[in-house]
Amino acid sequence: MARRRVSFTLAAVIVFFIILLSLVSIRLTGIGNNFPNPVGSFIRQALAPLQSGVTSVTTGIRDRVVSIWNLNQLAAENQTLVTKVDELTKENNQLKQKVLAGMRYEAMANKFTAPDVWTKATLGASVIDRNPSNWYHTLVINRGSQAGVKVNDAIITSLGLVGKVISVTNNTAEVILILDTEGQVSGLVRQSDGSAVFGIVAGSYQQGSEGMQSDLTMSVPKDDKVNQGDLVLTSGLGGVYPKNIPIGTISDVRLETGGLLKKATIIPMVQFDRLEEVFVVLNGGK
Amino acid sequence: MIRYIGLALTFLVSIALQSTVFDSLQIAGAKPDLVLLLVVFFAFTTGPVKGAFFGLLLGLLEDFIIGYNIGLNALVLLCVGFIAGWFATKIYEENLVMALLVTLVATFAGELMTVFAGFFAGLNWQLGENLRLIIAVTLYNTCLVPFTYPWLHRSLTKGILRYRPKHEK
Repeated sequence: MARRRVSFTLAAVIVFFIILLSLVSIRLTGIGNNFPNPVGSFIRQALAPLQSGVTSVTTGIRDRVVSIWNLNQLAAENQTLVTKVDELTKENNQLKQKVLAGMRYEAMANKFTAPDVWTKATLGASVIDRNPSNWYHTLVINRGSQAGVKVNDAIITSLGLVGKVISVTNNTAEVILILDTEGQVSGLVRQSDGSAVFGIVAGSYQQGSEGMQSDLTMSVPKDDKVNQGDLVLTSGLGGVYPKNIPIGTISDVRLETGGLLKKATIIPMVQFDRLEEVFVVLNGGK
Repeated sequence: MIRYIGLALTFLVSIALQSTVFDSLQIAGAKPDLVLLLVVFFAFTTGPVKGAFFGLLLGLLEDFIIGYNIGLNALVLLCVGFIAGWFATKIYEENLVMALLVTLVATFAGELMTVFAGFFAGLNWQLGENLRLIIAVTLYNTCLVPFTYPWLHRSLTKGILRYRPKHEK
């Protein structure tokens, strides 16, 4: 049987329309756009038990391998130390934040108190799924609208900022990490005199402390005095994230090509690929 | 029928592995693209047109599972299926080396296309920054070929996933 040949023009028209349609569709269904997606949510729900099973097995194996590698005792000791360091880092950050804020508020005759994220209502949640793709940095937590989680709620850990909620179902919520290019945050660094330098903290894929990895950078004007080791906090501008949540510490400052801006590389407070539990800041942090 | 159920299951397992096992097995911040690998191997046995259609279908499903930017993976995997299928018609001997080569080319083209499509659709993705990620994913995918190609290819040509003509049913 001879096959019918499709004419070149027809093929070209079909290809053109497929590309056009895809681009329009990608554009219309961007992150944060809540269009109805029954097919996706059905498959995701069907996959959930399998994924949580596999995740627990993988985590188990990883922990086992790590403990054999380090010898059991060392691992246990390490664990307590890590917890201790995390606690101290949190305390240290809070103190630093208070001292720096204090320098500023003193000038205003103590009429203000430093806003602090831990005075706000938070809700604990577990990470139950991660994004399968290389191109997005999102994860799914096991609390949804029934527990009062809303779109744009900030997600934090005891150490610092994780991201924000982009979509909610009854029992789950999808969180975009600040590492994602769509999850940019307005950041703030206090200079040595207590005044603030503002900048946009954005995720990028670059050479980091452990080889190539997703990392955070912040661009600030050339003349601003930001230094290695400075703490970067959320600025509270933009209305999504509450003020003064730690984002990370500056590890490196470089002059950008063009010479008008400096680019600071930030080591995040949170180890994003090891996240298991997070807090949701409820009611937009108000 | 059994072929399509098998393919659907393979696809779902790939997605699940990508978000679980390979999320903790990231190399240089990259995880492999198993769905793309599946499309490449499928197109390898069927040729460009069926390969492209299969890619479109799996890409669309993956997009729905991810939940945003619908059409991105569909467009990319359509092209990947076509490229891999086209290569297959030019190659007379199907062996592991050829599979490695085609996977290398198809993954690189696919990931590159993802950035371009994202860029043209107005996402905030930069090529320069992502080029190293693309290379990392390409190498990772290629490294997985020796572990996946032999049995998946056997299954697609002779095993459960093989094509059954109508009269055989």
